Amino acid sequence: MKNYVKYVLTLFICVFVQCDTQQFYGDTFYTVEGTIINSNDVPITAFQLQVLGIKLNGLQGLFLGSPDSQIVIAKSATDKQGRFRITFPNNDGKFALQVASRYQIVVPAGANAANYQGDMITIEKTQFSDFYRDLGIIKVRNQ
Amino acid sequence: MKNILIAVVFTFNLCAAQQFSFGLVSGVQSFSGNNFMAKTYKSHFFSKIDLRHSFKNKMGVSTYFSFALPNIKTTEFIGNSSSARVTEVGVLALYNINFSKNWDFIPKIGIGYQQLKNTLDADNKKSYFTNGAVYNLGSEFQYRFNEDFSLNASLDYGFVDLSHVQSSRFVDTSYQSSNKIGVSAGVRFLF
Repeated sequence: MKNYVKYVLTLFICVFVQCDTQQFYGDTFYTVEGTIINSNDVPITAFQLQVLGIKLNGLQGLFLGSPDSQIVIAKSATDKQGRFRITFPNNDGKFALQVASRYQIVVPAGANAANYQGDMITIEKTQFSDFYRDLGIIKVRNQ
Repeated sequence: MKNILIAVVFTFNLCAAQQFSFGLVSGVQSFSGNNFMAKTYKSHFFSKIDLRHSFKNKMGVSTYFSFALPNIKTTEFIGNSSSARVTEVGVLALYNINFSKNWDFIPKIGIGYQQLKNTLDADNKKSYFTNGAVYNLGSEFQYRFNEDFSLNASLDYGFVDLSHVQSSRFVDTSYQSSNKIGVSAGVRFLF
């Protein structure tokens, strides 16, 4: 009985540690594109943004579904037309595009609001086509 | 049966080891072409060690390991990488052409396996690897001081095959291959 408990405990710890570690893979690269505009519909130049790799973390991932493992995997800035293009390696979770925290991303009409969380847009891999996703025009406003 | 035996003895005689040698090489290497490696990594120093086995018929084989830490020009194509490491192991077939008492010209051809490691987040030790085959062509000039020691200089080209790497066709930079060119100099200990 003691051995049984030991094995279950070991398995549990292994699962916990495994879930806690976000992995990245250099055999696949994804690209996202888009245009950042302000609340007056004017493209913003040199607007800083970044892509996060997100993985459900440990016990939270197993039971609560809270994304805790967030790692910046790419950074970029918009050009004079407000456009950006970011390429980054694959991970074993999902991605999110994040803007500076003083801005909030406006949820476009008809979009799935669940993907928009303040300064962040979550991007599932199923939303990519040919490892590419055009996020279109992203409107931001000061928080 | 006799003919087979003669053939085996003849082949063994041709391939019998004439010499083993150990080489230490250092040089400058650069990636070129319209690909993410050429656009991302600066020209960099590399180091290489090899073990060479020369046969009586002037043919030879060499196994090598090379190591480099290229600096990153831009993170546009590789994510937020702060550092990179390129290692390669492989084998080369070579032919030794003696064109004077001390000088040799050694053309080389071979295949290797390259591992490119990019570190995304140094604090959390998050890295990823892009691996591929390398097809190498090279030429080496060697000056033998005596039977134990020589100096050499090489010019090498390698085609890096990354055809298994997947990326968007909307990115006009290739992730499927790269080219590397290196010039190097080194010492060789013959025994």
